[in-house]
Amino acid sequence: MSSLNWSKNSKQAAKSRPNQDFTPNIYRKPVINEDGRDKKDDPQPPESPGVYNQKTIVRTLEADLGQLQEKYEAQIQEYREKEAVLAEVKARYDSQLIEYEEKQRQLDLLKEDFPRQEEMLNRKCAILKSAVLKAEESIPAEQVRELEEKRSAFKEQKTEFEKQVEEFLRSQKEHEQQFALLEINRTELSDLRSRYEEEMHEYLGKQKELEKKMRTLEEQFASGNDPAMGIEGLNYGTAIDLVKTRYYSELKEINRKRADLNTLREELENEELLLNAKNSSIMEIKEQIQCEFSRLIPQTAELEAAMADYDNRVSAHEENEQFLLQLTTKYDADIALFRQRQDELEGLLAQQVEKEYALGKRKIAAHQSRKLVDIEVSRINSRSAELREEVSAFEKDLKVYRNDILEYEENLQVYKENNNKLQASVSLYEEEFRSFEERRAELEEQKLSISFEEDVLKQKRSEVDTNRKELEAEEATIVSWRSEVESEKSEMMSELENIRLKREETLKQERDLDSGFNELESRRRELEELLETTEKDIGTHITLHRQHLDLRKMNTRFDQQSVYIKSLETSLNEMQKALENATSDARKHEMFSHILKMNMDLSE
Amino acid sequence: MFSEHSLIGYSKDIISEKVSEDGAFFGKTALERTDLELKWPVRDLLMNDHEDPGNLKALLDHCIQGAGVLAEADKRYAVISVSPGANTSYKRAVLEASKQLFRGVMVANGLFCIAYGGKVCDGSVIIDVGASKIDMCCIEGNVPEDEDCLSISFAGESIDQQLADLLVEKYEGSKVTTELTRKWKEAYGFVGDAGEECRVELPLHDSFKEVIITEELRLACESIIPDIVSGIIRTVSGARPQFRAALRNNICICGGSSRIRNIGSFIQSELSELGGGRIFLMNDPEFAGANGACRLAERMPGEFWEKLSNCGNL
Repeated sequence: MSSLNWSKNSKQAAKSRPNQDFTPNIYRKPVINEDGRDKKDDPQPPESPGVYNQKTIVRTLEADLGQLQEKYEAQIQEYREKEAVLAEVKARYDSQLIEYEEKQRQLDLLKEDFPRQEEMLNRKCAILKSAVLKAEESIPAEQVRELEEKRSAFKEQKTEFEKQVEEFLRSQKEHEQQFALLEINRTELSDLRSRYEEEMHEYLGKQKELEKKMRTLEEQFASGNDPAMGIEGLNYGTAIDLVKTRYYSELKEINRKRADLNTLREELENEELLLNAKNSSIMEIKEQIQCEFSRLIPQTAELEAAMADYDNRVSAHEENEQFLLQLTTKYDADIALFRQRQDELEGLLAQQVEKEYALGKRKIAAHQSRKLVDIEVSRINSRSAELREEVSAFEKDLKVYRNDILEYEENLQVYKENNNKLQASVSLYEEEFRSFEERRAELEEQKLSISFEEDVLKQKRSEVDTNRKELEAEEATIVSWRSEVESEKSEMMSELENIRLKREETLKQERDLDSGFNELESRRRELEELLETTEKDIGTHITLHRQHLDLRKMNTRFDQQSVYIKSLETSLNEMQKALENATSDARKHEMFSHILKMNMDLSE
Repeated sequence: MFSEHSLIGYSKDIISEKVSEDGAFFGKTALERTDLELKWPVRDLLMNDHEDPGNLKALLDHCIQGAGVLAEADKRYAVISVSPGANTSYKRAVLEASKQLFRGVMVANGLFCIAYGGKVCDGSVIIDVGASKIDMCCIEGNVPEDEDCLSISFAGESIDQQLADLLVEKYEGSKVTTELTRKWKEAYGFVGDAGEECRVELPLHDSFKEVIITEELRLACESIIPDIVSGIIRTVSGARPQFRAALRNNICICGGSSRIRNIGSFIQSELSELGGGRIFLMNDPEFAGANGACRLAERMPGEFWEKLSNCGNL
C-alpha cells in the first residue's frame, strides 16, 4: 500500500488500537483528537495532502510524546512508590539492625561475663578439689598404717601380757598350794615344838628330880649304904641301872626327836628359802607386770590421744564434708543459674537466628524487588532503544520526506513552514527527549544508589554472617565448656563417692577401734583386779620377811647415809675450795679494781 | 725498765744551739759522750710538776724498742710501776707520756707490783732499796695506799756518797766521785763479814793508787741497815697484831742495793735481837717491780681496760 493512500479500514484499525505502541510513521493518519484539535491548533485548512500528513504526523508525535510522558510519569510514580517501600524496608532494616546491635551488645556483655563466671566456676571447682584433697589428707594412709601397726603391736603385747598373766596365775596357784602345805607343816612343826618344849620341860624337871635323887643316892653310896627303895627285890643300884637305861632310851628318843626337829627345821628353812625365792620371783613378776603396766599406760594414753586425734580429725572431716556439701549445693545452684543463663542465651541466639532468617527473607524480598526494578529498568531501556530505533526510523522517514520535499518543490514554502513547525516540534521533542534523558540519568543515579544500598546491604549481610559465625563459634565453645563442666561434675561426683566410701571405711575402723578399746579396757580392769588380788596375796607373804628386810633396809640406809655424808663432806670440801678460789679471785679483782679506780681518778 | 737515773742525751746543733730531736742517746751511751745535753726525765718530773713529759715519752719509746716489743701501739697494754712517794702530777705525766704508745696504760704502786710479781701479796713486808730512797710497806692482800708506805731517803746514793767521803777523808788528794764509788759498791758491796779484800785503783790528782777499801765499803753499806731495821719494826708494829708474826717471817728485799752481799742475813740477825724475822731476797731484784707490773698487766681483766679507755675518752 502506498503511503499516500488513506483508507477507512486503516483509519479504523488505527483508532481501534489507541494505546498501542508508538510507531512513528509519518504516513499514518493521526488518531487522537482528530477533529477538534486539528481545527483549533491548525488554523489553516489542509490545502494539500502533504501538508495534511505532516500535521497529522506532528499530532501523532505529540500524542505519542504525551503518552510517553504520562507513561514515564507513571513509571516515576511507581519508582517513587518502590523507593518509599525500599525506604520503609531500609528503616525496618535499620531498626532491626539497631535491635540486632543491642542484642549483640547484650551477647557481648554475656560473653564478657562468661569468663568471669567460668573463672568463678573454676575457682569453685578448685575449692572443691582442695576440699576433697584435704578430706583425703585429713586421714593420711601412713597414719592409718601406723595406727594399724600400733594396734597390731598392742595386740601382740596384749597376748604376751595375757600369757604372762596366765603364767603368773598358774604360779600363784602353785605358790598358794605350796604355801598352804607350808602353813600346815608350820602348824605341825609349831605343835611339835610346843610338845617338845613341854616334854623338854617335863624332862628337865624329871632330870632335876633325878639329879637330886642321884645326889642323895651317891651320898648314901658314899656312906656305904645301898638304900632300899621300898620295892621288893629292887635296890637303888638296879633302880639306877633301870633309870639309866630308861634315861638313855629317853635321851635317845629325845635325840631322835631333836634330829627329826632339826630335819624338819631344815626342811622348813629350805621351804622358807624356796618360798623366799618364789616370793622374789613373784616380786619380779609383779615388777614385770608393773613395767608392762607402766609401758601399757603411756601406750593407752597414746592410743587415747590417737583416738582423740582421730575423733578431732573425724569432726574436721565432717566439717569439711559439710563445707563440701555446701560448696556442692552452691555449685549446683551456680550450675543451674549458669544453665538458666545459657538457656536464655540460647533463646536469644534462636531469636537472633529467627530475626536473621526474617532479615534474610526481607533481603530476598528486597532482592526480588530490586530484580523487578532491574526488569523495569531493562524494559525502560528496551523502550528507549525502541524509541531510538523509531527516532532513527523517523529520521530515515524524514530523509525520505526531504526527498519528497525535493520532489514536491511546489509545496516547498508550505512545506518549509510546516517543516519549521516540525522543526519546532522536533526541538520540543528533543527537549522532551533531553528531559527524558535527564530522567533516565536520574533513574540511572537511583539505580546506582540502589546498587550502592545493595552493596551496603551485602556488606551488612557479610557482617551479620561473620557475627553469626562468631556466635556459632562461641556457642561451640560454650558447648565445649559445658561438656567440660559436665565432665568435672562427673569427676566431682566420683570423688564424692570416693570420699563417702572412705568415710564409711573410717567409720568402720572407728567402730573396730572402739570395740578393741573396750576390750582392752575390760582386759585392763581384769588385770587391775588380778593385780589387786595378787598384791593382797603378796602382802601377806611380804609380812613374813618384813623384819628381815627392814634390817637390811636399815643397814643399806646406814650405808647410804654414810656414803651420803661422805659425799656431803667431799662436796663441802669442794665448795670450801671453790669458796677459797672465789675469795682469792675476788681479792685479786679487788686489787685490780683498786688499781683501776686509782687510774680512773688520775685520768679524770 | 726506767728509773730516776734513766737519762737522755740530745746532741746540740752548735750553730743554732738547738736540741736536735733525731740525735737522742740513752743511758750509758749518753754518759760516754760529752757533746750532749743530758736530761733525766723521771727525776725532772718528780722534782718539777710542770716539766714536759716529752722526754719521758721518748724514754718509754726507747724502752719499748729495747725490749723488742713487736706489737703495734693499738695492741699494747701496760702497767707502769711508780714509786709510792710519787705525786699525782708525776703519775698523770707518766700516763700522758705513755698514752700514745699503748692502747691501755695504768700506773700502780711499785711495792705492790713487787709483791704481786713475787706472789707474796698475802701478808709480807716489801722493802725496795733503791738509789735515792728506801720504800717499804706491808702487803696484806690489798693494794697499799701511798700513806701506808714508809719512805727513807737514805739509800744507794747515800752509800756512794758515804764511801766517797770516807775515802776522801782517808786518802787526801784522792779524786773519788760518786759514780766511781757506785761502781765499786756494785762490784764489791757487802755487809757483815767480807769474804775477800776490796782492792781498787783510787784516782789521785795525777795518778792512781791501788788501795783496799773493804772497811770503808762495809761501813758505807752498813750505814743503811739501821734505817731498814727500824723501818721494818715500825711497819710491822703498824700492822694488826695477829698478822705481825706472819709479816715478820715474810720480809722481802729487792732493789739495786739489795745486791749488797749478806744484806739479808745481816738484817735478819739484827732483827733476831728485836723479836726475830725472816728475810728473803727477791730474784732479779732490779726488775722485780717491772716483772710484777708485767704480771699485773697480763692478769688485768679486759673489761677494766675497756672501762679505763671509756673513762679516758670521756
